[in-house]
Amino acid sequence: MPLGSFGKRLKRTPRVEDDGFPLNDEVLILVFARSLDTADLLGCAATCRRWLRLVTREAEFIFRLKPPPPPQPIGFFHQQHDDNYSGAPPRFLPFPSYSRRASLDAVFDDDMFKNYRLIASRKGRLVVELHRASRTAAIRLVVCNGNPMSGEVSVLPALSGKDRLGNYAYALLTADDLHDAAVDDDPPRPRSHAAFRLVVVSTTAARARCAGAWGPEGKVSGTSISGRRLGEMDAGVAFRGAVFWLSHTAVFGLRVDTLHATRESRTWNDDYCYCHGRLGDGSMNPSRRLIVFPDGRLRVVQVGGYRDTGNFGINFYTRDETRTRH
Amino acid sequence: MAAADSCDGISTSGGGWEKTVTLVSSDDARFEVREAAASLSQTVRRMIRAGGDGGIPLPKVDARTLSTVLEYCNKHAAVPAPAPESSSAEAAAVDLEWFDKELMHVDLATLCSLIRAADYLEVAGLLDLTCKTVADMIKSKTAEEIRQMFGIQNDFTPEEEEQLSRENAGVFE
Repeated sequence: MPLGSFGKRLKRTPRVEDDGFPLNDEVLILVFARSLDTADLLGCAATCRRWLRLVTREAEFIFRLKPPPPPQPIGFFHQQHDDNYSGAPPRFLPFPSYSRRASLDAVFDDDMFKNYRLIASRKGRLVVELHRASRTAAIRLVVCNGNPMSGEVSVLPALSGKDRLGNYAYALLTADDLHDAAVDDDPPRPRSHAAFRLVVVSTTAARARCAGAWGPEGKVSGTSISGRRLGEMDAGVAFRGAVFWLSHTAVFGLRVDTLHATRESRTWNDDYCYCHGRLGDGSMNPSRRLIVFPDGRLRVVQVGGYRDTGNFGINFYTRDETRTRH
Repeated sequence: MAAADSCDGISTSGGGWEKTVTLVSSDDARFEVREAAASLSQTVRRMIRAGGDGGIPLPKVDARTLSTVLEYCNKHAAVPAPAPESSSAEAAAVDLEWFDKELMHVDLATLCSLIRAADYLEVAGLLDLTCKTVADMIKSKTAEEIRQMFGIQNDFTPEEEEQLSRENAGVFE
């Protein structure tokens, strides 16, 4: 990556600094930015005039080039089932590592959020659907950006009229996911960390919509998903360039680049493990989630109590069809 | 093992015809390369799209360096899209890591030529690999050790040097 105007500024430095090292300033900065800690950089600065100049003057730039430290979770959002139609805001449950929560309420104080449902969250972003109570009304999706504490909100254009969605499934993809999806830019350009994409698969035409603003519709190929199933599914999970949704009997996958869909059937152990809660109609609510584990594998985690003994249990279903139980 | 990836149905490898391009080094050596490999260089990729014939001139890279860069590109472009969780994908990753390591067993002058070439050609993976290799050499070394390793002249005056060691901790404040 050429350093553009930055590099030009360096070249104009008038002093003669022939240290005999065969790398120019621009490239040497790239070396400094690779895996050198502060102590190493101090060593470099004490080596010769040129290196001192580079390290001290371009310190900010060097540190900007360094990969950001891995993000730390600060908490999670939770909206109870009962809250779906009541319009009660999701609660932010902070981890002990996070202390400032005061400003969060202000985000949802706006009248706009009077009646809404939290449908997806990922890496500090929330997607909420407004005016769910009236199915015929236009569906408006709102994405709260970045650090939710910042209160930055994107309202996506309403989908109404012939664009109105019936049942739909959705997934929020962040910059990292988009990188995995290798959505080809031409010419290639660096992606902002603030980039996101909301994928909506709707039944009206079995199509997907991709959005910053709404992009063009694309037709999903490979397999079809019934409308009822779409409406039942939780937010999809981004994994290796695809989005996966969990339904009662299967895992649906959708390649983000090709919109090729797959269906991986699987029988969950329904007799074995149930959630403690019950749904309103009295049926048991099997508590399952698709999760990408830190080891890079996609698993379904099923949590609940055993029906006969009442003991608590967690089942893991790993995508390569092997199953382990703990 | 060799089972075709069913996902997109279009296979670009596997014994068929592959598009090649010709790259010309600063010392006029010509290299015929698969376009897929050459396109790991964003610079070359742009030039391919710009069109033209008679080979793509790369006046800032000599033949010796270019051949190493292309060795890297050929190897890395040959890697198939990761088949999730298959043992062959894991083996390929290990093989690639080994390859990268071996490629970095060169003297300092060659390494610096590779960095300059990777920067000019915009081969992101190779630039990262080579810069990291130099950074690893610098790691945990004193200024004097760095000077010796890289043959750098100490052009500080004794006063400056003393001041530097006194103020070292304040550099970033």
